[in-house]
Amino acid sequence: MISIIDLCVNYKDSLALDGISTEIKQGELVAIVGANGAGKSTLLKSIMGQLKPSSGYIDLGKLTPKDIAYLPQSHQIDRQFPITVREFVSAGAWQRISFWKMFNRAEKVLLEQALSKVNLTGVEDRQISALSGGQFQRMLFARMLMQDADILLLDEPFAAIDAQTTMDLMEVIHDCQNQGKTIITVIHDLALVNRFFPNVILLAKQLIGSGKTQSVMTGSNLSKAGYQHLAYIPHQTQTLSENDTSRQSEQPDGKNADYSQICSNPAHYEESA
Amino acid sequence: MISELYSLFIEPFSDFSFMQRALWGCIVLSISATPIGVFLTLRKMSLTGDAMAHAILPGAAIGFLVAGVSITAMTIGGIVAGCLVAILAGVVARHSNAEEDSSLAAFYLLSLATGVLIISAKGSNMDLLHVLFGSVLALNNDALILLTSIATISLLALAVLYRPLVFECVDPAFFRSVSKLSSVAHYGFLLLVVLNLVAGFHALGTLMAVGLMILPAAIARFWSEKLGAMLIIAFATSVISSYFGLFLSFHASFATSPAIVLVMGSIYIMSLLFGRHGGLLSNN
Repeated sequence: MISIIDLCVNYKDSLALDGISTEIKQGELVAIVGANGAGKSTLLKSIMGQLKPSSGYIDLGKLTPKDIAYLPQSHQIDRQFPITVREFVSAGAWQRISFWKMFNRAEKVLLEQALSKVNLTGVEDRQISALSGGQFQRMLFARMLMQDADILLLDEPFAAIDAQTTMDLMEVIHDCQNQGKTIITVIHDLALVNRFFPNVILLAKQLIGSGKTQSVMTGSNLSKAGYQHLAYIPHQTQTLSENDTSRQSEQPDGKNADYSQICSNPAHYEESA
Repeated sequence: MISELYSLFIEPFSDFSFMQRALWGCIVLSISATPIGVFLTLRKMSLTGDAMAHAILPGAAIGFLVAGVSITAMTIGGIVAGCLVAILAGVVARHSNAEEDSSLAAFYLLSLATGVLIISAKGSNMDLLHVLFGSVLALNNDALILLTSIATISLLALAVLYRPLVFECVDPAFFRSVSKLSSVAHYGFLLLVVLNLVAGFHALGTLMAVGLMILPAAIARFWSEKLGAMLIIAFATSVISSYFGLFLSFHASFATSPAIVLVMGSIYIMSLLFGRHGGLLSNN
């Protein structure tokens, strides 16, 4: 279990997280949601131990930062760097091979398995600069799998990728959850949160709410988190598809919201409102 | 015909020991400085390399002030000054509103002015020219031993740092999450830059030393997208340029280090036009 106790973190001379307290149980799949500047990535970096709290603390239980795998935002990566997919993914074995050990047969098997899980078999020797956006994101997932860690921290893993890739990668995440791994994901797409993530931490520098998704993602909570345009959810008359009722979230006032439509088409929302 | 070609291309290097020393010095420098240059360009730190090259000047000047044209004194002074400026630039950037590049620029300008002032106050114009543009044709045994030692240390250190350096270059956020060696790789690399610039300074001077690092690396990027191939191309380009620079200097009495850098510059312009990857006239 990860226990976050009264956590305050300063980032670049300003308070980025203010008194956050929550718990994440082992094997949980948690989305961290909040507007820009809400402290989502700061919370991830604090869990990793990269940012020191100004007060409060994070208890990883029996685990250490070495048991954490991190998938950074893709824009932080130099995509023009001359390195092959195989070399890039092999970085996931750093905790085991460090800067001097040979990449042995067992590691090679792990690497092949990781690439296979994300459907990247056959592109191992391609330069990373030659990958499409979706392939690049799959490669980041392969590196994360290669780390074979107990806690997975993902920072906006579905930014700017197509729906099919998102679904494939969500399947990878579910596989990891089935193996008992704890998965914490910063995510902006509320439709995905509503559909796939059973637990949510809603942030606006302070903790707005944490727990089961349906109980946290209420209109008033969303309003407090900076999503004022979603505060008064109109009664929905349209759904994505007849079979896709899981995307609908029941609000406390009994109204239903189709977040995917709201997020992907604000104009539609405004018309409805 | 063959004897004419021999006397034109080979004889300067077979008959004159100062040309042999100069070529040996340039080859040794190419072995150690070009891989550093490749990583400098990949880390988008080419101008940092240039700034650091200027930053070693006051240290070398103080060495000159203390011991005259002494290789040891100027080397130690250069290394201390280079490291000091790199650390100061980093500290100022972290503790003030200044960006690292602007603080580095400020420090290197101060360093350059201080260095020129010290040398011109104590020495002659020849001494100043020696420090600014080097004297590759006057490399003695001590200088060659120093260059070879620095090259050996540099290559061994790079072999150790290679893996963390690559991972830190391509995805620093990830590497920081898995290793505490991120800052070791960064500052270790800067130390190697300083060491190689000090070595280059003895041959090519403070103003031209960085040319042997950056230009071959910039050329290599036009011809390959693979790191291994880039390292080989950069080394080969540097050796070829050194040979033809010395050749031009010998036959046309050009100043040597500018001649070497200009040959590299010509190859760079050709690569810029016709390079397979990103050349202006290429189809890729």
